Amino acid sequence: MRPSVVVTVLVVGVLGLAGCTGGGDPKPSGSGSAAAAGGSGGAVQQAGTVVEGTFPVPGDTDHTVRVEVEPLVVQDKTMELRVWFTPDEELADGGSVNIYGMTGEGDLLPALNDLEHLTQYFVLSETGQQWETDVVRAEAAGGEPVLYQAWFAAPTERVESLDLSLVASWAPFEDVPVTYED
Amino acid sequence: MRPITRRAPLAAVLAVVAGLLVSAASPATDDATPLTLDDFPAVSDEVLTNGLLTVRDYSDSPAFFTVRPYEPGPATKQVGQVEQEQDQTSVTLASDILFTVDGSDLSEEARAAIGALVAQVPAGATVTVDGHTDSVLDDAHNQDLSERRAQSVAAAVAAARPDVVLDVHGYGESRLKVSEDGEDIAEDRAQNRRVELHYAGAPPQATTATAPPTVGAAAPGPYGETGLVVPVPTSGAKLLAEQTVDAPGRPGEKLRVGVEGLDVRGASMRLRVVVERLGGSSEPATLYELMGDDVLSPSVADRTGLVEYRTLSNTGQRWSTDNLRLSLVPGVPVRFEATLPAPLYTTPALAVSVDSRWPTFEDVPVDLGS
Repeated sequence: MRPSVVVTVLVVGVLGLAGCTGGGDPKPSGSGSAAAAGGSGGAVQQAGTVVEGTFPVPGDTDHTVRVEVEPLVVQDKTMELRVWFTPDEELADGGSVNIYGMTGEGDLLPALNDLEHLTQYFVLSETGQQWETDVVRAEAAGGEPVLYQAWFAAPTERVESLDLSLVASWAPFEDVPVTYED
Repeated sequence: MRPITRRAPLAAVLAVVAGLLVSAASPATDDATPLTLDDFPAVSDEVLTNGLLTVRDYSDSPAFFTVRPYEPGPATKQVGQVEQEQDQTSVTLASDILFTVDGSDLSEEARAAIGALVAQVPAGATVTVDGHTDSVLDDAHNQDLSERRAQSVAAAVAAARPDVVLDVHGYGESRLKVSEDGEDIAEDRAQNRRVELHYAGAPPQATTATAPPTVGAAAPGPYGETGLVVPVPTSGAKLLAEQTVDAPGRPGEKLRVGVEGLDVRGASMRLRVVVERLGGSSEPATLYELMGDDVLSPSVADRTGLVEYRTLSNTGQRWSTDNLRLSLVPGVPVRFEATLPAPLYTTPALAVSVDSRWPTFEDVPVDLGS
């Protein structure tokens, strides 16, 4: 098991006191080969992302982060979300910036919304453990994508799509496709 | 700008400390491949059904954390609530459905609904009509408003039942139904804005709705363009309706508040509100602060079908944007989004109350989708 997925709260707490968000060498937690090439929202892209948007960093309107979302994948009892975050060059300032910093230092609270059946899904969690990428350790250089993953409970209804909200001040992604692997 | 890039060496030291602490729980690895579920503890049924954190289902079971279902019933309010105690009947009419803000005129549909509610009153009986308000604004204003509203309702009763005796009162804010210091002040105030009818006799029979119901149940998906992202409107962008209002938490500061959209999607109705600070300090302020340390809980009224819809909630959690996390600086609009039940009746327009302290947006067009 890698450290990036364990004791997230502890790491955030320690680094938060230092007023920083990074740690270790600047290595993206995901492969840069999955970077999507331009295109408008809705187009299927090289990495399998189906939608993208560029948003201001919460609390820092001078900088932006590009967000690309892959289809949701349901397997057995869980549903996986994959999102690629790409900071702009200025935000990284020649170094690297982590997902925590790109999303307002605590504003990343993913929710999947089923407006047909009036149900919301949140990241699986238990006694401090969140089934998601450690947003403090996952970082990227300017212009490079970093992968964020999170697991939710499988939908209670067999829906074709769900709305995704990531950060309160960002527009939600509507109708993110849901694929079923079983 | 907040310090979001890496800072060394202090950060590195702390990171090492954190890493050592973490390593006690998990072996370190440089693996940069995507995660799999094997990287986590087993997903137990307890995790999957954690009602508070992972599924929030707002329909039946109050699963709260992970799957949160929402029950539309409690968020849908009909105009008249009837209570019976021995031979005394009380009918509480919701002012938010019947009247515009500070208004006292009744629509034709409202007069008809009130007439139906008093159809069962025994001939010659005395019907007491009591108007009440919340405690917002001053006593004199509220006293006058409660009297005007009581008189309007009494006139509707008299038109339907000229044989009953009317005893009409306005009490302003002197007889609050609930104290306005609870956790949900907006709801407390809404309960207090009312006109009550009291009489000796049987309660009104249930009446059928005059308007045809909508499809009600969820429409099949997908219900829109795949992966659509609708940007937050820029400053000055045209909205369906807008107004300039006072920021309750910042005396002297003004806000531009507008309705961007009111869309029916599946079993839900999505309300998008845009808020923009019109001046004031350049320091960011949360919407929560601007509202006077209060949450925003919009409601939508159907003044024809006489139904009020509120933001869906489950165990105190509303299905809406967290206004503690919406920071505003002057000149940059933000979007607040609330999810309400789909309307019971097909209607081209509804009244939107973003906050009870501000005027209602009347006749906001509804997008019923395809």
